[in-house]
Amino acid sequence: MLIVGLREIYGRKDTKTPLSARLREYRLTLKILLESPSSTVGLAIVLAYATVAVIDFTYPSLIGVQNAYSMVPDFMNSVPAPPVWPIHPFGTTFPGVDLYQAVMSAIRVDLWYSLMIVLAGAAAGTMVGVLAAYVGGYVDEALMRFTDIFMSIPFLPFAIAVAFVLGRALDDVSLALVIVWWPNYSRYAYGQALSLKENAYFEAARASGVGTWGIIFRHVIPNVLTPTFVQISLDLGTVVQVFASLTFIGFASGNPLLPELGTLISNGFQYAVTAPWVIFFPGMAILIFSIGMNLLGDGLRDALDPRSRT
Amino acid sequence: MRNTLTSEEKLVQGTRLKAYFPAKTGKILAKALYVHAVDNVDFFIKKREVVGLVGESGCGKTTLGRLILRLLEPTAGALFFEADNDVVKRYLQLLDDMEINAPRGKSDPRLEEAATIEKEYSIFKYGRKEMKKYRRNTHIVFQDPNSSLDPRMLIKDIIAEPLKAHRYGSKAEIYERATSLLAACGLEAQYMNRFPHELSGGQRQRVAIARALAVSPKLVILDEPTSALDVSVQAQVLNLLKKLKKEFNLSLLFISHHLIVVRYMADRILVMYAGEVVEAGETEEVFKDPLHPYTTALLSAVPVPDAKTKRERIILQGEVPNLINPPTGCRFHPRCPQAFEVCGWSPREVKESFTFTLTSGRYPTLTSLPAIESAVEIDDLTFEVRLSGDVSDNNLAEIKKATEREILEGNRALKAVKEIQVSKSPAGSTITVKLYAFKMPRLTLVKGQHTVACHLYTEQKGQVPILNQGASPRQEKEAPST
Amino acid sequence: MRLTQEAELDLEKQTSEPLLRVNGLRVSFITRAGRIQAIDDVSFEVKAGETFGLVGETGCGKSQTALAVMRLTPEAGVIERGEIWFSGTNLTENIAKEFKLTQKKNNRVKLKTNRSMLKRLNQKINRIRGKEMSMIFQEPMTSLNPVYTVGRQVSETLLRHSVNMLVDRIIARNAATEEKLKDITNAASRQELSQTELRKLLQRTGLKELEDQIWFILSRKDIGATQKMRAISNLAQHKVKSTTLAFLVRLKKSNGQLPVEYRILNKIPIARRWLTGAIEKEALKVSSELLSLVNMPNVENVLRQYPHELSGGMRQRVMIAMAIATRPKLIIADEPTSALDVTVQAQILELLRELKRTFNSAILFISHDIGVISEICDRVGVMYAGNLVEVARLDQLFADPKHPYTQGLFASVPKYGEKRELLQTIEGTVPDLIDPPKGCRFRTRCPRVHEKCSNVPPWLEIGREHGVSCWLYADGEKHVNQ
Repeated sequence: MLIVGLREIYGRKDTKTPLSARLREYRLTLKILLESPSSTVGLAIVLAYATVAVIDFTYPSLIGVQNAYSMVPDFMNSVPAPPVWPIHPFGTTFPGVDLYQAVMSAIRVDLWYSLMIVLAGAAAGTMVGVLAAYVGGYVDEALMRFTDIFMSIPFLPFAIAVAFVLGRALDDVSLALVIVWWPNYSRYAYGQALSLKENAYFEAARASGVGTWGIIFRHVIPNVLTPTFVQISLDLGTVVQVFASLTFIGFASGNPLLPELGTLISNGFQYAVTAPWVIFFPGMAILIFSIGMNLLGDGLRDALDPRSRT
Repeated sequence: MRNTLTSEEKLVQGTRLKAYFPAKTGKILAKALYVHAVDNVDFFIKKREVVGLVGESGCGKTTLGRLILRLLEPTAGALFFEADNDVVKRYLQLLDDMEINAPRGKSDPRLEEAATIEKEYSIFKYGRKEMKKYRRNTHIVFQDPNSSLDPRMLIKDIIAEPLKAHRYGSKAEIYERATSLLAACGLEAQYMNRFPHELSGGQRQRVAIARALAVSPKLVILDEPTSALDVSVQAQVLNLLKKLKKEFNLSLLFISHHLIVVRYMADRILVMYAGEVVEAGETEEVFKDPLHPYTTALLSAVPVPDAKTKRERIILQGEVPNLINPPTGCRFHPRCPQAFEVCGWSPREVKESFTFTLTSGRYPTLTSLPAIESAVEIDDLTFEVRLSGDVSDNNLAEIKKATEREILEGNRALKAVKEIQVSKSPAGSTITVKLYAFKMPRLTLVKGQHTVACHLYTEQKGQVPILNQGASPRQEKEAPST
Repeated sequence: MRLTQEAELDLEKQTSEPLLRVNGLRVSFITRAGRIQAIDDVSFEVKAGETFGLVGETGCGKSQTALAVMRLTPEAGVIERGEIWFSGTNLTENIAKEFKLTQKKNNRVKLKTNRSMLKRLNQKINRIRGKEMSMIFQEPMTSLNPVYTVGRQVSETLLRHSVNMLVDRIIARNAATEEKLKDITNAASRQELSQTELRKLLQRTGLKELEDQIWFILSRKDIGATQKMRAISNLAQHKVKSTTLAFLVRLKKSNGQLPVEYRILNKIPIARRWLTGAIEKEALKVSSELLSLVNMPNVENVLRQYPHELSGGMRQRVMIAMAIATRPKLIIADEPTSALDVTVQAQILELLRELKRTFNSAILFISHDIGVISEICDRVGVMYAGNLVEVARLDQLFADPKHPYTQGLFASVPKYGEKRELLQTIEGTVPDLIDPPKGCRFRTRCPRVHEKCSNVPPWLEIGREHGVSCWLYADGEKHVNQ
């Protein structure tokens, strides 16, 4: 089925249907992406991570993960053991958890939370920014000042405050991050929408009888979405790091056995000097993902730039 | 005196339209300044006629086009669409009357009646539903084919948009109509599933035209539709427009700065300058016999692709005026080669010319004048020049002669000088110069349907020269005996 | 080195050699979509002092031809073949070594440029570009640097190319005294001096470098005669400090190169000011002269203003001032009036005609507007899809256009005098230059196409100075082999 699907994507060269028209566009994006070596590397990394996450979610045993939702401690051998192929390819960490399985599952967890955070922030922020730009006037002022207020919140004290009020579960951390993150999107979408407003097709839509909301949803948002998408991909890399940092500090006490990269690092921190693999593997997992996402984001930005497409 | 054509029905009629936009000066507490983009414009478009709107950048033609579609809100004025001619006539009557006899407070019955008419007929007072119905009758084609089509939408969706907005029918019906519209505009069905960037400029403009015609409007505004296209593509698009006008029974407002194209397309033409309509009439009539000096200059400035005919070129000095602070009186007077006293010369303009005359050195008799300390505007009609020494009667006569000479040589600002007097002041002397009062030009009917807003056709030129004050006024400007 | 008018006339006399000769130019662009053959085998000549127009529609390659002449082809473009001779210098001396095209599979080409060759080229050509050959661009807003004042930008050209002239002027002014200038003021006040008479007078008193400054004062239209005399006498008042003067004399002796002793000072920022301050001030003065030469109102204020504070017409005047600053032999004007209003366009064209008369520069004028071309050009070349299809004198071209494209182009423009029902159009659209038609590129749209047209048509001289590239004229006419 996958092969049939791929053949469909690459086969359609005609212009008869709207689907083929859009596919042509995506094919061109892919082609441009693959031309640049750095973006290709980025794309490969991100795809690899995504695959791991998906497999971990559906058939964890495919990659050798026994329990995808919890780390399995072995209190008998709680001291971290060095990597031994094939039982413990990454070694073990305190308290006797197989590092490989933990990291694989943690990737899934982290990716999921980061994606949710960024998407929520992007959705809220873009909506605010677009409304402010399109409606203008007092609404513009009000919304943008509102955005400014949120932008001035330093995230760490705020996260601590949220933790104090709501608790230290991962979901609360995510909420705190969303609240801190959305103003960026608001600003960005505002600028994009403002410059788009110069285009005549807005007035044409009004002259055609389309109402304000119709224009916002059918014209403004789709055109703002492309650059926002690039921003999202760039942010994912950063959010993963931030999220892991927060869990490292000590949030997410709800379920101490939930595999999560930051938690893993903090678990093994005391053994870092004698057993470096304990922080090496989780750390690399974060690092490589960030690099990959950044490369991909840059590549996407260049690929989606209309000037490079002709 | 207004244009009132009673015989044919007018599709659109705009009255006293004003559009002022706030200008940003960057200073926090500055007085609010406005760009007078459209100032007191009256116009009408009949059924099935093509009206050309010409002017240069900044003249307000684009703004006017947007006003007709209510894509912008006016500061004042009304627009009547398919309104009863008698009602509009009554409205204009009321407005004229109120100009002559100012309204006595808010409850003046004339004001109320005018307001009632506006509320019922003017599109600027329409509610949402009525506005949507109005939008079914009008549409617009923009200048830039690149930015007038949403780059993320397929062609078929672009054309279908107005149909969907007005609930034309089922999806199948909508797309069928879209295909037939594309065909009418000369594009095959294969273009339906393409994106705008896959089409050439001319093709995009055709799509824009197809979209404009989707709901069979009665009026289509064309805002410089071919200015961004190549000459050969322009020819194709213009031919297409002519064909579609007949097929769809359209009225068109063709906005352009390209005079030859407008002459080719339009039945009637309106010439705008700095936010006002300065001349209007049938196209051939205006082109053959341009009345307003701006129209004449505009026509002569058009480069004609013909190596043989060398026409009389009128090269205007200066630039299109700043609309935040437009010239007083007739807005064209600073550049008009035929401006005279009543055209709107302000003390500031005349003061500059006057002091220049005194100090330019072209008149050797004036070299003995004492130095000028300052030149100050006193009020709307007077200014003073203060000198550091004495000015004798002889000097005064020389000054008057020099002024006369300057006027003869073509210095138009000095034509507004009515009186020159000298008085002694403690610091020296003061020359007081009084000017003629100026009037605003109004669109007046000159012949047939040809109207023009210019004093040359309504006022007597050549007032009494200052040397011979007391003699009877003469008809033509003749050289005074010196 | 400033070119005096006599030297220019000499050049013209000894010319059987044209000022600019382009031979067999081929320029391609390597893009993702393929190899765009933008210019294919273009050859033409521009003689000294003549205005040669290149007319054509979008994509015909006229702008790229101009850029190629200046060796400013964009990054993705490459001059594959051809020669460009300017005033005896071969600007395309080593083009074969400047790039390398490798054919990759599936018809794609990879371009690799040889950076060191380009560096050498730039060193050679920077002495010509901006000095003997200058360019006026289409969009004055984007061609002027928005963060520098107008005065600074015009001075920049002078400081780069005409340092010697500036130094001469300062030294000459220092050497002048009131008595020496008295002869000139006396002669000028008695009658109108011509430039040659002025020069003779100056040579007698040994002040020939003052010619430009004095001539500029005499030709000003905004001040009277007495003021002019005063200004000329005042020239002797503007002296510089003795240390600066010594430096300038030393500079002149070493012919514009910074002498060794001063090199260290040049490195220290504040000290450098002391060295170049006088020259920069002089450049600013020359800039103001240039700006009044292009009829800029309010020169003093404009010098201090930024480009965004000026109107389109004024910005274009600034560009023209920069272009004529070094009295170039060739001015390339790329659609200089396309972004301007009709009346401003008329002013600029009038200005260009005036400057043509004064400086006798050759102009390569590029436009898509046939009307504009007919206003200013002596000879015209018509381009289509990267080929030059017809070249003729202006009157010849309009009287008897030979190439079917030229004929179609003229027919599709709405004429000033007539009112036809439909315009004649050229069928089809401009071909894709990645895969142009083989042979004559116009054959897909030509109404008179026949079998021979699948081969590239030769260039034929069918009259004196009238050439065309079309098979229709191939029998019995003189062939000119490629």
